[in-house]
Formats: sequence, structure tokens, C-alpha cells
Amino acid sequence: MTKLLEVADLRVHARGAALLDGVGFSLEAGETLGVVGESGCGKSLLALALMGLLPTSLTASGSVRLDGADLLGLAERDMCRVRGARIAMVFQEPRLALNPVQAIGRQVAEGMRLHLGLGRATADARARTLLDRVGLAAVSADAYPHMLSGGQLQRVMIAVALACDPAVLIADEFSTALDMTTQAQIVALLAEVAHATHMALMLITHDLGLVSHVADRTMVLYAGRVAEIGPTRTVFAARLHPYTQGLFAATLHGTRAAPGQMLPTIPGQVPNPFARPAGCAFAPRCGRVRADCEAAPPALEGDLHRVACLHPLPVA
Amino acid sequence: MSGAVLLSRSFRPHPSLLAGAMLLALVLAPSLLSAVWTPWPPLRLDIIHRLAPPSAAHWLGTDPFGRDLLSILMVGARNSLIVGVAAIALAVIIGIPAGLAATGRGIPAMAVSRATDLGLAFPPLLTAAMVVAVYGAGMTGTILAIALFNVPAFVRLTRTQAASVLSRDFIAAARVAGRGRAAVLAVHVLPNIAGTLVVQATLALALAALSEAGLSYLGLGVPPPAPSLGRALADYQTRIFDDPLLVVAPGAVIALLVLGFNQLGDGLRDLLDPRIGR
Amino acid sequence: MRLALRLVVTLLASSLLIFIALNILPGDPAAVMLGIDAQPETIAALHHKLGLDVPAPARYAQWVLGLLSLRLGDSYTYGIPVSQLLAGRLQVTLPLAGLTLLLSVAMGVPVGVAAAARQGRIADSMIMATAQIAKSMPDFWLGVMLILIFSLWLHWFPSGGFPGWQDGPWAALRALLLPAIALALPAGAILARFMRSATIDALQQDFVRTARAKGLSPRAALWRHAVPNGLIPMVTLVGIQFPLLLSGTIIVENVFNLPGLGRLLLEAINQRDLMVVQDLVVLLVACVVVVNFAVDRLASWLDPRLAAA
Repeated sequence: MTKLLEVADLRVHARGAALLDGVGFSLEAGETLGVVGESGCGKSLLALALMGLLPTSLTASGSVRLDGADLLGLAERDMCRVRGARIAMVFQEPRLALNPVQAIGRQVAEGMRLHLGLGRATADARARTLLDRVGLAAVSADAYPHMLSGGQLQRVMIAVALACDPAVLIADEFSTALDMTTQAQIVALLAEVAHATHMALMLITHDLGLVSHVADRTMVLYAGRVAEIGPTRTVFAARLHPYTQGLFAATLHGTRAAPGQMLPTIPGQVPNPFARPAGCAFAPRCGRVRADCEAAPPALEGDLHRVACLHPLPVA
Repeated sequence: MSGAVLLSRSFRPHPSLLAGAMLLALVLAPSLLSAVWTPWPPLRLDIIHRLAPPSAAHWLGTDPFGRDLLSILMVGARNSLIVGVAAIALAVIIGIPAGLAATGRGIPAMAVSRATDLGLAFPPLLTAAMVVAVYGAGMTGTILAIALFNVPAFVRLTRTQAASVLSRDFIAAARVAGRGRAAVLAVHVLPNIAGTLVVQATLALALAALSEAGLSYLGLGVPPPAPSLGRALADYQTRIFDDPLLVVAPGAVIALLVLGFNQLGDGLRDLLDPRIGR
Repeated sequence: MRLALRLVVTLLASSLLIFIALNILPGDPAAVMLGIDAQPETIAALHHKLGLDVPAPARYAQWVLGLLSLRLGDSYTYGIPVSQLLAGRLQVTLPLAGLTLLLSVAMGVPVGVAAAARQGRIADSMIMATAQIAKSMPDFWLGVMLILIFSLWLHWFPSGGFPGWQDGPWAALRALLLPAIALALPAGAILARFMRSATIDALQQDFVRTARAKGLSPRAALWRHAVPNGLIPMVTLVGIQFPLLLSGTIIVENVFNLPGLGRLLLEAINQRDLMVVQDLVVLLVACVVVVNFAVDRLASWLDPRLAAA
């Protein structure tokens, strides 16, 4: 059975450096994949690469197959038909991501008119229904973005993304700009919609708590490569890759530190993409590094739960 | 993401500064030279050789009175430059302190702001024509006129730029540390806005040259017999069919002068603007 | 209404300014009109006729009160009401200014957007270089050049004069076209450069990326999202440029021999016809206020954030 989305050996280059260095994973319909990693690991670039919206100075190679068709090889005109219709994206700062001089109803309806060929009245009516669906029943479709709160705007963005019933929705750090309560509400909304419509959801975030609640599978990215990927429960329990282990240790969740005790961190910094080590990218910071780690980047090994490490942590 | 964004900006050199400087030099050199030497005395009549085409003796030919066109243009350009520089210098000397004063909160500050708004509503040529009408045509009158309608623009620019700097935290820190208002303005605000003001002054010079030419064209500038680019254009306009060069040349010199200042101003702005890649 | 209030305040302020400025003018209008050999009694009689023997503050009050009730006084030179003089001239200057505005926007906006869409490429540099040259050219020189080419060589347009509107609009528009082009080319160049940077700014905003993510082509995203946002500061610029535009019409009317307000103004200055000069200045300033008001309204209509403020 072909997966809905299959990414293989995706690389994104910029003047000599590989910002994304051979990322591969798959996504099934109705599945939620959490993508975690520090800033600079390439999470957002991954999203842009899938949408074909990379800045012109970057080039992508590899394969991105949606329903079997390779998106990277598509001409721009064909890619425009895919964007918004089959694969959609929700961005990080909703206040900046919406056109300030256009009513929100119009902005939701725009995709429908473009891809589904709906007339203005029909599209507006559908947009109204969609706005209700995302919890904005009390807001007029003629309102402008500056009249709404951050949480409301993010709901509008979700409505915009869902307008044409996409098969895949990518959410890029979409809750970072929101407070905790709103965050929880929005995530719940997204998860609910995804399950109802059997839509695949890719949740890009640095928030492990979020992922643990919502994602079926989790992928950990480090320095442009996949460090670990597998069912959320297994990844969270086993934490095979030393980086994953470090991420969890660095996250404060329920543990109380004694006064004066140093909080755990991962020593060192994410390597500059132009100056990555020859072997495993995490080697300089890893507590378990051995000689063979610096020889070549380790490949992803495993079945359902895969890890790119020559000396992963033992399963507890 | 931030890394990718940084990498996608392309770094290009800014040749506009160089181009501007070169264009200006093209006009500046002959006009400055004219202070000590011109091919012919610009006022020298030579009726026998009137309306002559360009030749070895007269590189641009002669006008209806036999005067050497090149010499007239050189001195005319010099006059335009003198008027322009003097006028803008005056406008800056008055406008910048007034603009700084307008950032205050008292009645004088408000009065300055209101006066500036009113001043900006006056069409520049109107103001200039009025001043010249009162003071009479002549270099002083023209300089005053052009300075006058440039003052509101400098006041407004200084005020808005200074206001935005004043709202920054380091100003509050300086005030808390005990710095008086005037000192804060001089030491902290002025250096920060100097760049923008220099750019504005350069661009204003372009407009001043244009205005001087316009006023001269209308007969409100430097009176005859002093050579003037604008008045030359007006004088020779009737001869346009016989000898187009008489009309093309003065206008081209004005255009070159204005273009040079505009390019220089743009180049300076690109240099000072932290956003690169535009 | 807000406009009426703004107009009255500006009117009072500018009229005071002008009155003071003109009344320190050396030279007696009556003496100028009658000539050097005039007898003192004749001059005194003319003073009385023109109302110049009344003290200045009273004269000012008379004038301003007249302005507020739209009575503009009588011209010193011609003796007829200024409003009559203006009526004919307005028929030239207002259409000229309007035509120039239209042409400069019609040229400037598309050119600016085109340059923004090709940012960084050769077309962009070439367009901007052309605009830079165009905006440096004196409008009166452009006018003379246009006369040379299109009137004297090609005979497509008249080289000057104004036939009036009574025979239909086309003859009049033909007479106004070259002057309007001479003015609109530099003005349009300024608008083009500004529109380019406003559009580039808009293109870098996140909402353009959202539009692309919806599946809009780069061109659709440009015109439907970036350009409307770029037009907002542009509209404000047009308002700021309007006084300069009026300045230009004053000069260009002289180049093309058009019987408009500009020509009237210069004649009046030369003839020391203070009444006309005063009235004209106030009128022109009032025009600027009206245009700025209209521009503010337009900007609010285009940008809902401004309407809310």
C-alpha cells in the first residue's frame, strides 16, 4: 500500500551547505506526525520544501511523493494546483500571515474559488461554515485581521488551510505565539478536524508535551538529518538517540530540581551547516561518542522505530 | 529558518554612489573651473558669429547674440550650484534646530509643528515667487526663496526622526542618568539621525537646482546679464526651430546636475540603510 | 464637517501670512499702475478707489470676511471682480492638474510594480535608471522638447494656447496633453520608484507567502495581495506631491502659453496686483488642503486599520 506522503533523501542546499541532509519519512492518511528539534535543525525548511516554497537561493533534491506523484519535479504551474488543494500549511505568526486589508471571510474563500471554481456567493457561504467549524461562529466574516485576537487569527489560518479539504496539513510552530490555554484549544481543534476528515497532520514544534498528546508518530531532527523516528509512545519511552535523551532531560516536566542543582542541558551548540562534522553531527556533544562515530554519518536503522546512531541508548 | 533567510539575501555592491559622484563631477568640474577660466567671456557679444553651430572655436556654438554657449553654461551651472548650496545650507541651519525643538512638549513645539504643516501646504514655487516679489530678483532673493520652502521639510524630517530615536530605551537611560534635554539631543539624537539628514540634504540640493532653474525660467531668478541656465532656456526658446542645441544644452546641464545629486543621495541612502539587497 | 473646519483654519492662517508678507512689499500698486509722472492727487484718488487708504488691519479684516463669504474683491489692475478672472483660468488649471495626476499615476504604478516583480534582474535596474533620469528632467525643459518634437516636427499637437471648452472637450484636451505629459513624466517617475519599494516591502510580508501556500501563482499573489498593500503608502505620497504638482503647472502654463492660474499669478506679481495675488495664494493653499483631505479619506478606505484609528 502506497503511503499518502513519502519523502526520500530530501536535501536542501544553499551555496555549498546542506541545510537538510537526506531526510526521509512517510505519512499515512489520518496520521499525525510530530516533528521536533531545536531551532536550526531544519524543521521549517522541511515544511517549505514540501510545499515548494523555498526561497530562490536554496535548491531541493531528493523525492517528495504525494499519492505517488513527485512534487519536486513539478513545474510551478502544476505545483500551484497542488498547494492549498492537496497539501496546505499553517504558519507561525498569524497576525503577520494574513492580509491586513482583506476581510477574513474573503481570505478563507480565496482558495476555494481558486481550486474548486466556486462562485463568490457559494465560496463566501462555505467560508462562513468553515469559520463556524473552527470556533469563530461569533466573529463576522467581514472582520479584518486587526480586529481579532491572536488565538482567533490562528483559527482563521486553520480555516484558510482547510478550505479545500487538503490531504496533508503542515503546522509550523503554529502555537508558539499563543498563550498556553489557547494553544491547548487550537491543538485540540486541529487534532479533532484531522481525525474527522482522515487528514494527515504534520506538527512541527519544539514542544515535546504537545507532541506527546497529539502525535501518533514522532520524528526527531538534528542538524538537518533524522535522528530518530517511530511511534510516539515508543520514542518517548525508549529515547534511543542520545540527542532525544538529552532533549527530554532538558525539558522540565514534573521533576523538581533541588535548590542549587544545575538544570540539565545538552552541552555545546548545534553545528553551523557550513561546518558540520564529517561523521555523526551530534558526535561533538554526545556523551556516548566512540571512534567510529566520527567516520561517517550513521544511517537510519530499525523497523517501526528507527534511529540513526551507531551506539544508541539501551532499551530500558 | 533564520539561517535560510539570511543566506537567501544577495549582497550587491552599490554603484549608484559612484555613478552619482561621477555625474556630479562632470558638472562640478567645469562650473568650478568657470570661476577662473572660461573659453570665452560669457558676456562677450559677437554678432557676426551669432547662432553658429559647434566648432573648434565655440565647442557648443553661439547664441543669438554671438555669446559662447559653453561659457554661458559653465557660469550658469556655477550660479545654480551657489544658489542651491547656499539655500539648502540655510534651510538646514534653520530647519534642524527647529525640528529638534519641535520634539518638546510646550507651546513653542506645537507652534513650530503647526507652522510646518502650513508651510508644507504651500506650493514651493508659490512661496519662492512671493519672496522674490518682495525682495526683488537677484541671488539673495532666490537663495532666501528656495531656503524658505525647504525649511518645513527639514523641520518635519528632523522632528519625526528625532522623535523615533527619543522613544528608544537608551534615551530614557541617559535622562535617568541625569543628562539634560539639550545634551541628550546633541549627543544622542543628532548623531543617530545625521545620516538621514545628509541624504535628505543631498536630495534637497537636487530639487533646489531644479527650483533655481524654474525661477530663472520665469524671470524671477538671477537677473540679466548674469548667465543662468533657466533664463537661457527661456531666452532661447523662441529660436528652437533654428538651433535646437540652444534649448537642449541648458536643459541637459540642469538635468545632469539634478541627476547627479539624486544619484548621490540615493547612493548615500543605500550606504546608510541597514537593509541590504535592495 | 472636519474638512470645513480645516479649510477655515488654514485659510485664516495662510491669509494672515500672505497679507503680512505682501504688505511689506516695496512699491505702491497705484503708482505702478499710473506711471512715474502721475500727480500725487491722481495717485491719492486711485488709492481711495482701490481701498488702499484704509489702515492695514481693517483691510485685512475686510478681505478675510469677504473670503469667507466667497467675495474675492476686485483686481487692482483690471478693476473687475477677481472671481471673474479666476473662473476662466480655473477651466485651464484644474483640468491640467487633474490630467497630470491621472497620467502620472497611470504611468507610475504599473512601472513600479513591474520593476518590483523583476527585482534584482536587469529589467529592474533599467526601469529604475530610466525613472531616475526622468525625474531629474526639468518639466519646463521637457515641455519645450515635447513642443519641438510633437508640435514643430510632427505637427501632431498645437504648440501652445488654449481653445476653450465651448467647442467640445477634444480640442481643449489636445492642448492640455503635452503640458500634462511634461509634468506627468517626472512625477510619474517619482511615483514609480516609490511604488517599487512599497511593493517590494509588501512582497516580503508573510501574508504573501500565505497566498502562495494557498496555491496562488506568483503573479496572482503580487497583484491581489502585495499591490493593494503597496498602494496605501502610495496614496499618501500623491497627497504630499500635490503642492509640487501645482508648482509645476505654474511653470508649464508659461511654456505652453496656457491662460491658467499660473500665468495669472505671475502677471499679477509683476503688476503688483495684490488683491489677485492674495486671493490666488489662498486659493492654491485651499486646493492643497482639499486634496490632502481627499487623500486621507482614500487611504482610510483602502486600509481598514486606518479607518478604525
